[in-house]
Amino acid sequence: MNDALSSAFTIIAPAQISIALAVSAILFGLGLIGFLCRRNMIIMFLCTELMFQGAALAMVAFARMRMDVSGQVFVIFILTVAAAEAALALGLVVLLYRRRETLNSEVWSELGES
Amino acid sequence: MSGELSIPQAVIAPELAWVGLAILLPLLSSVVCALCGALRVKNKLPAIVTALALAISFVIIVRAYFAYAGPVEVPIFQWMSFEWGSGGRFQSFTANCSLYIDSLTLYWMLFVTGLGTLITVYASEYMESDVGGGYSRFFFGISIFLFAMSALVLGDNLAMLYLGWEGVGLASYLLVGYNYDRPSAVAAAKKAFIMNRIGDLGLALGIFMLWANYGTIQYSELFAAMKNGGQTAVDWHLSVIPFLLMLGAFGKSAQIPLFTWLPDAMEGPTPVSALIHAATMVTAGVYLIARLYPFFELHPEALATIAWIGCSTALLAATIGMMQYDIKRVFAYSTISQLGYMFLGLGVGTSFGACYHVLTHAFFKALLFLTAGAIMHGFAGQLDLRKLSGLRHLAGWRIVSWTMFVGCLWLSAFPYTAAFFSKDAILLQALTSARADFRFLGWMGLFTAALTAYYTFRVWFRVCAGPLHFEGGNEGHGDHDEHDKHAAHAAPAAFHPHAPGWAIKGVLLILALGALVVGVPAYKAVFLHETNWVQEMIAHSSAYQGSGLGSGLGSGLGLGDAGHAGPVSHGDAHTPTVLGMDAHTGLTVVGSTASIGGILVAWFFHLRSRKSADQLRAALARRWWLGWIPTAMENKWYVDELYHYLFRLPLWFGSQILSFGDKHFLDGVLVDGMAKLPLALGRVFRPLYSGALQGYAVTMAGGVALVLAWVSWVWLRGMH
Amino acid sequence: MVPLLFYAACAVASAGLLLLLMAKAGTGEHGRAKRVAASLIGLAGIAWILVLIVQAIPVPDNSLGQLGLILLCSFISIAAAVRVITHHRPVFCALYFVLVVLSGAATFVLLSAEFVAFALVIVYAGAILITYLFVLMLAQQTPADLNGSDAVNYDSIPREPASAVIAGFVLVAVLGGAVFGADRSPARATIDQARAIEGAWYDLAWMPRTLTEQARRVDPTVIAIVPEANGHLLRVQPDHSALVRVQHSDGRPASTITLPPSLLPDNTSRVGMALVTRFPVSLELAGVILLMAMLGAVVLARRTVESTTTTASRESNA
Repeated sequence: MNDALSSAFTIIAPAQISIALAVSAILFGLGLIGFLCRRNMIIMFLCTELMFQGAALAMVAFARMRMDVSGQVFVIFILTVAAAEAALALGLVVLLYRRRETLNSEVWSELGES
Repeated sequence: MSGELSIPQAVIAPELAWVGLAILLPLLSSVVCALCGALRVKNKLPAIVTALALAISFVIIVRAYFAYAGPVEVPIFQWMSFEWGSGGRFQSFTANCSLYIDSLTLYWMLFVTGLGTLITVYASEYMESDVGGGYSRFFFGISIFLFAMSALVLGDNLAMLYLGWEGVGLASYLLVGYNYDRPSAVAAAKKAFIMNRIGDLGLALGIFMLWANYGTIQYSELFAAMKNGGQTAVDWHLSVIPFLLMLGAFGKSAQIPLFTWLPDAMEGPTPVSALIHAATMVTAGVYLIARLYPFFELHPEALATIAWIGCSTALLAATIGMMQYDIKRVFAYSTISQLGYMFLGLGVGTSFGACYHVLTHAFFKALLFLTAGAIMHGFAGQLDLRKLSGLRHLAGWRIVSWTMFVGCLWLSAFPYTAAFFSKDAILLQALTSARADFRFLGWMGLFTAALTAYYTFRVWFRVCAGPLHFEGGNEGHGDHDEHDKHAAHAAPAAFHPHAPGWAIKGVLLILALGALVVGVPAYKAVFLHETNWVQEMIAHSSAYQGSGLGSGLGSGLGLGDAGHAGPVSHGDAHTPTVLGMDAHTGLTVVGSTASIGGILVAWFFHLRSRKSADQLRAALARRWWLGWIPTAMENKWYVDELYHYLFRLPLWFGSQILSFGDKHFLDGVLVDGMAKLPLALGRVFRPLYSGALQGYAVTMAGGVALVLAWVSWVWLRGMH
Repeated sequence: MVPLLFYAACAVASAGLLLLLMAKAGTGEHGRAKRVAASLIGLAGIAWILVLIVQAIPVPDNSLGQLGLILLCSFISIAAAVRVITHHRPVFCALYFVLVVLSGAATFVLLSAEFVAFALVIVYAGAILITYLFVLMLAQQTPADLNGSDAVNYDSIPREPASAVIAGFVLVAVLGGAVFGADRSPARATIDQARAIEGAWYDLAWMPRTLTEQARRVDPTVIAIVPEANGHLLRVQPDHSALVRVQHSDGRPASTITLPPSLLPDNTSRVGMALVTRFPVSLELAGVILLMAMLGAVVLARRTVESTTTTASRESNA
């Protein structure tokens, strides 16, 4: 047998997976925090993309750990959904912006009690 | 009880039901008066109706007196009657609206209705300035009072007595507070009411205990049950019952310690003072004890307590009365003092003397109050005896002055007046008692009699004798304006007193005559050696039974009533004497001396040289060990203040604490706190519903994070 | 075991982030100092987290270089992501997001996911982010529209950062803490590896022509693969190689040759294979989603036109 396995099939150091997973969690958390505390509706949706990013990273890390491509396939679906979401959400944002002439999400609070 | 009880068993006599009208008529007249008030009747109709109703009541009682043949029980209608269990003696309760008529009842009702009628006639003129205003209210109060008093006296059970007892208390409250726009009157009314409540508690407990011990509260059955002894041999019941009843009597009759309400009750219109707070209501305590006298005899120390309390009250009130300047207050304290005599009489064992004194006192004290009322009426509310003088020289005031003189003579127990005999009977019984403390009380009573004579005539010599001089009071009078009242100081002639009319004068004359007449039984007894009429009336009622105090105080006391057998005692082991003389003679001498001596002192200080009274006072004030006495007497020995600090302030503080707790703990923390809890929760959670999209997102993320935390916690724990 | 130290590190990082969020932008020297301090705290927290992970899990010496690269990419990702949520100018946020995507793609490459990495760059950085930038420019308010400081405020002042950071902290702590509980036994990794290689070989068997080409690399005379008796084209050996029966062009009888592991299909083809063989329905559904999104966007846009006309008419009336 002439040569070794390609890099995709070698057993990866667990620390790398761990770091990737931790980073994915952190990205997801940061996206969540951004979604919760930014007022600009576009940025809010950008932050949901950040959360997608975290999820995608976790998927890829798991795929690498188990050497199974299903994780990567999942990421492709995530990309699909993200694209669709971006199209619709941005359309909605533009619609809302036309209504109130502002991107501030706090002007949309008709559900409020007070 | 060793002696044989000889209370005649009451017969049921439904045919005497018409006596019940004596209760019903005042009630009807009160209804009419209330209607008059509601319809704003602007004439003297209420007075006429009331006087008419009371006069008819009086006639009914007189008829009942002549028809009287022995104790009767008159069922009117069934009021309360129920039984439980097997319905035995202690398993049934009966309190019907029935009358118990014996001589004591009739005796009491005679003067209650008679005086009631007279005073109503008097009041019809006295209150005329209020016609159309409070006039109907006033006579409503009088009617309701007479109704309650009649029920109290005539009722055949203690429930009716209690009903009447509370009713007269209510009437007293309403009438003392008649001038409800005057704060002092309102305070006095409340004070009277509350202090009476304290006594009423004792009365109510006493009635409960009587039922618990004898299984009934009807007089006839009670007396019958007493013969058989109580339910239990435990003396506790027997000793506690008289003390509880006594408390009720002390409250109603203004004895120590519950006497301070009576002087304040003089805030009421004078006819009220005369009728309720001198002649009738305050004697209800005497009636209670007289009616239930056998139960008091069961416990000698109870009677001794009554005697001590009565005599102490007499002395205390007399000393206070000596230094009062308000005529009505002097008479109020004299009332307390004379009530003290009555209790002394009951305590030392002469219910005859006590009841006779009730009668004489009712007349002369009503007379005195009505004269005071006439003066007040004529001088625009002026009652300060320093500002009135020589009224007998004033035209139109002679009848008032001389009827007042009669009243004062009687009050000071001038020899051979009716009051002299009644007081004599009490003091004689005390002085000839085998008990040393009773003899001491007798001397104390004699000393008090001298004081009484002094302060009584102090009033008369000041007000009616001496040089003519007067100042008007400050109560509004139709024909005097503000200017005149101030001018009155400078020129007495500028004030024109308003001489009393014939309704007042007539009543005064009748009362003076009555005061003379009530002495007749005593004259007959003393000069003709006949049996005293009053003695006879009392002797055949429950009040007389065992007046010799039975075995409780030893046989040496079996003296009987002094007025009964004249000066000769019952031939017991020793003949009681007073100062070495025969008891009756000795007491006549000593009593007369005390009375006349008091009058002479009053004459010297208050008529002959009025300045010397002030000099004496100044001389006393210079001696530190004496100087405080007149001041203390003037300030009623500071009893009100003492009560204030002993009871009112602690109660007030307690109420403040409880009120604070109620307001801030019960209301603030528990009630309002519970109410505020949802509010606070709402405040906490309301920001979550701000409507801002991200607010909901924060909540959702927080929830997701917590669920994840829980899951990972379980997972991590399961793993290691 | 509860990774308390990890939680503490997360708390420090969160505190730094919170301070950074609350430090008001553009308040001169003072605000700048505050921002720097907050950033330092946050960076310290992140560094602590990474150090904790590296410390806790043994690293073979031969992969130290790769570990360094992954750490670098992670650092860039996190820092850029923080800037995304803290920068008060939306366009810069979008650009920092591009940085996140790029560093993320680099991490993907390091994790042997090349196809996904490039898809990410193309779709995200290339398409989605451009859309965002377009919309940002479309909705950009001119200074004349900024009545008062509202516009400045809503981009520069975060809303309720404390509760958001607390929620995020709990989430990150919990998710990140799970890293310490994973099964990292080498035996498990070996089983995974064997199964993955076997799967890859069988993926190759789905594509007989590719398999034949691979076989030709071992033996140029191969003209066809002969199925075995059980119908399978190849047999996977324990040493990760595969045996195939092949026919030779030179008339030799069919023989069995061994394919070495280096001839395994590459990552991209495996993803493609998985898409079409294992997830065909999902693939179709993804297409439907995209179609629906396109339709939805069209519908929304149509309404937008209507609303603009009504607004315009309202304005003209006014």
